[in-house]
Amino acid sequence: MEFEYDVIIIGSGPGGYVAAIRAAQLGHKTAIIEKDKLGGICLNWGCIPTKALLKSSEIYTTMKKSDYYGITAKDISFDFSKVIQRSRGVAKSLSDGIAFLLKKNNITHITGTAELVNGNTIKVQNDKKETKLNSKHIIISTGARPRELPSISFDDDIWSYKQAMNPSNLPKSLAVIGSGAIGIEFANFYNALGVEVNVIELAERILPNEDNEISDYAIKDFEKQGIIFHLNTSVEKVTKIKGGCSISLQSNGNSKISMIKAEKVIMAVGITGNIENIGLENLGIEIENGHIKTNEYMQTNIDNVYAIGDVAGAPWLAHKASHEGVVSVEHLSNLDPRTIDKNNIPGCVYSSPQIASIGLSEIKAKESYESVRIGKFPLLANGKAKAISSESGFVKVIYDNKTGELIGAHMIGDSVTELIHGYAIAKNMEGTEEDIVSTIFPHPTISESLHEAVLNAYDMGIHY
Amino acid sequence: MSITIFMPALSPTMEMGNLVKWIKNEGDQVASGEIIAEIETDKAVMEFESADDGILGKILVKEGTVDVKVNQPIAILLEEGENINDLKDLDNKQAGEVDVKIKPLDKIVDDVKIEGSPKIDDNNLMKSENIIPQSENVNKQNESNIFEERKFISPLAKRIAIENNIDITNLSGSGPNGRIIKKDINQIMNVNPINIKSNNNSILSFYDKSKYAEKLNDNMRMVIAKRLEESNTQIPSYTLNLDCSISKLNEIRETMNSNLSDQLRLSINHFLIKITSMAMLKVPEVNSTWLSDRTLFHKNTDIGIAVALENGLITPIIRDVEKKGLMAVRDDMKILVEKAREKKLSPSEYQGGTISISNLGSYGIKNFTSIINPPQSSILSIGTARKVPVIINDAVSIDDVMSITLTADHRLIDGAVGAAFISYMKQVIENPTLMLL
Repeated sequence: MEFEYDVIIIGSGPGGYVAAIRAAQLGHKTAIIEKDKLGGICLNWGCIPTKALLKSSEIYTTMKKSDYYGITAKDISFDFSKVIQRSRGVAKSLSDGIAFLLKKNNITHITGTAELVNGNTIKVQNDKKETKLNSKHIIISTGARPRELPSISFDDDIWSYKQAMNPSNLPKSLAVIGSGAIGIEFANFYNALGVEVNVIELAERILPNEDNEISDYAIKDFEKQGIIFHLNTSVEKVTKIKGGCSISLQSNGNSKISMIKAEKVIMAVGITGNIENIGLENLGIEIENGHIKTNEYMQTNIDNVYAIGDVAGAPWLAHKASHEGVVSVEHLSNLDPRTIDKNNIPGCVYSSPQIASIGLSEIKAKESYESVRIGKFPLLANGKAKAISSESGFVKVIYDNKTGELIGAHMIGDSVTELIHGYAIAKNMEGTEEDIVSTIFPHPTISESLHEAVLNAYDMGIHY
Repeated sequence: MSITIFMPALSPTMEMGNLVKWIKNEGDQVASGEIIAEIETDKAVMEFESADDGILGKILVKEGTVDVKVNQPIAILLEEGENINDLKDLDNKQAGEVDVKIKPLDKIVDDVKIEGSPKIDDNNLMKSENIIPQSENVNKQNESNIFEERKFISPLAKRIAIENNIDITNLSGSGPNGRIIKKDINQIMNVNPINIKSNNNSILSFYDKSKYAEKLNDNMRMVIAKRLEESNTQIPSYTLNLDCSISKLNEIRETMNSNLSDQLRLSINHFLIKITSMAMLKVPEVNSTWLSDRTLFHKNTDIGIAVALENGLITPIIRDVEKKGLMAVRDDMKILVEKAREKKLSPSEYQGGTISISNLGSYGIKNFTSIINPPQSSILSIGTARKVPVIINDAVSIDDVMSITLTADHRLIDGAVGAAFISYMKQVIENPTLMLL
C-alpha cells in the first residue's frame, strides 16, 4: 500500500518538531499535527518563557546590590507587565522559528486535533472540518499537562505554571505546592520580585530528586533570600477567602492542622501524560502508570507507532524528548541508533543559585555500587566565582572507586546549568576520572570547579 | 621477482641491530627456514632465518655493521632465473624506492590497536594477540592492517577489561561505530554491580543494622580475599603433620646466642628458614611451580615469611636462602618484616617464592593448617614449642617439641614426597649438626 506520508508526528513540542526535522533530513515525507502553537509547552509555557522571567528577576536582584560592585543605581523598580510581555515575546519568536524550520525542511504542518483510527490512519479535526491522513509510521509526542491534587483543582486563584507565567498582576503573597524544578523556579522568581512566598513540600527535603547535599544547600540559600519552606507537609485543602486563599497544612506525624494565607496558589506537583482522546484504545496501545509504554527505541506495542517525550514517561525533560525523537526516527529508518541511558540525562533548575545534575545521587550510588569516591569543591575556593562575587554553591562528583566510572555529578551555584554538559560528555563517552584529571580547564572560569571536584575525589585537589 | 630482506625486529623492544655475520654468501642457494645471518639484538645474538627459497643475490649491509635500523633492507633474495645484474643500481636506492616485492616481517605492534588514555599498561590485554599475521604485502598494507585491527573502546570499558584480564580482540562493541562500552565488557563478565548489591542485600537482611558497624574492604583485604579464594578453589591440597623435638636445636641456639649481642640473637624461625631451604634442595618437587602445561623446578630457594599486619598479612620473600648463613637470613628477615609493617614492601619483595612459613607459636597454637599462597607449592605452619613427657629407655623424661604442618599442592607434591620433605626437616631439626653439612 502507498501511504501519503512516511512519518506523521502528533504534537510539535521539543520531541515532535525535532523528530520531524530528523525524519525530513533522512528523506521521509513528513507531517506534523499540532492543535495549538508550534513548540509545545517547552517553548510556549515552559522552559523558554520561564528563563525569560528569571532573567528579569535576576537583573532586578543584581541591580539592588549594584552598590556593592561600585555602581550607583537609584529608584530601582520594575514594570511587571513588561517582564511578562518580554517573556511572551521570546516564546512567540521561538515558536515562529519552529514554523520556519518546518518550512525549510518541507515538513507539512497540519493544525488540528489528532486521533489514531488504526495503525496507519489519523483523523484530524480542525473546527468542524475532519480529514483523514495515512502514514507508514506514526510518532506520538502529545506531551503532558500539570497534575492536580485529588481535592484541589486549578482555577483563577490556584494556578498551574501556565497561569503562573502570565498573570495580569503581581500577587502580594504566594503559596507554591511542590518544590520540584517548576515550583522552585516560580518561588525564586516571585520572591525576588518581593512577593511573600511559602513553599509546601511533602518530602523531607526540597528538590527531592536531587542529591541530599544539594537540597540542604539550596534550602538554606533560598531561606536566606526570604522564601518560607514547609517540609514534610501536605496540603489538606485550599479554601477561598477574601483577598485570596487559605491553605490547610498538615505536617507528617502531626495531626494538628495549620493555616497559611496567600493571594494565589501555584500547584506544581508533577505532570501527567496526555494519553486521552488520541485514539490509543482504537489500536490497543499499552499504557503504564499514565504514560505510553515503549521499548528502548521508543516503539509502542504496535511496531510502526512510536511514542516519545513526556507522554512516554519520566524524566519530563525537553532534551530527553528531543533525543527520543531522534532515536525513534533513526530506528524507523533502520539506522540502529544508540539508545538512551537515563543516567546520562542531565537535569537543571534555573533558580538563583542554579542547580544542575547528572547520574545518580550519593544515596542511590551507594545502593548500586560497592564502593564510591566522592569529590567536592566549593565555589568559594574558585577564583572566578570570587571575582564576580558568586561564591555560593559547590560541585560534587561521585565515582566508582573500582573502575573510575563517573556515577553522578551535582552542582549548585552561578551558571552551573551551562557547565553540566562537561560531565555529560565525559559520562556519555565513558571517560574515567583520568580523562577529566588530565583535561585542561580554562582559567579563570567557574568550570575549573568541575576539574577540582574530580581532583578532590582522588585526593589531588589543588585549591581545596 | 626478487625479494628484499629487511633487518628484522627480533624482540619487541628492538629498534636497531648489529649484523654480526652472514652465514650465506652472495650467490648461495637459500632454502626457507635456513639460517642466513646472525644478528645481535639489544638482548642476544640471534639466528636469522630466511622465510623464502631463492639465491642470496646481493648483500646490502656488510658483516660487522652495527646499529642497523629495523626494516632497513639488508639483502636481496633472487628467484630462480633472475640475474644479479638486474639489481645493479640498487645500492643507491632508498628503502622506500625499492621496486621489488617486499618480504614481510613479523612486526610487534605496540599500543596501536587500542585508543584511550596512555597511562594504562596494555600489556595484559595485548600480549599474545598483537602479532599481525604474515601477509604478502607490507608497508602500506601493514598500516591498513593496523588500522583495521584497531579496537575502539571507551576509557571506562578499557580499564574494566584490563583490570579483569578480559581479551577484547574478538569482542564487538555496541557503542557508536562498534565502540566497545562498559555494557559489552560487563556482559562478558556477566557481572552487574546491581547484582552484587542485591546479593549483599539478601545477606544484610539477616542482621540488624543497629547491631553492626560497617567498613568497606580496602584494597589489601580484597587482594587477600581474591588470592585465598583462588588458592582454596583451584589448588588440590592436603596436609601432613608431625612433631619434632627441638631440645637440641634450642641448645645450639642458646650457645650461639650467648656469644651474640641482643640485637643479633637468632630465633627458631631463622633456623627453620634455613632448614626449609635444605629440605627443598633435598626434595626438589617441593621447590617447584605449577603452570597449566608445565612445571618449573627452581634452582634457588626463595622462602616467604608470613607477617601479620594491622589489617591483613603479607609474605615478604627471603631470596636464595641456600646461599645464606643464619646471620644473613636474620638480617634479610629483619629488613623485610620492618618494611612489611611500614607497608613499604615493593612487589618484587613479596612476589614469587615456592613456599611460605607461618608461625603462630607465640599465640600458643599447638598446630594448624594454612592456605597456600599462589603460585607457591606449599606452606609450613609452625606451632608453639611445648613440653611433653617422652619415654626413652623405658624412663619418662621431659622434652621440648614443636608441631610442623605442611600444606602441599598435590599437583606438584605427592603424599610420599611431601612426607619425605617434612620428615627430612624433622631429621635436621632434631639433629641440627646436619646443618653443618
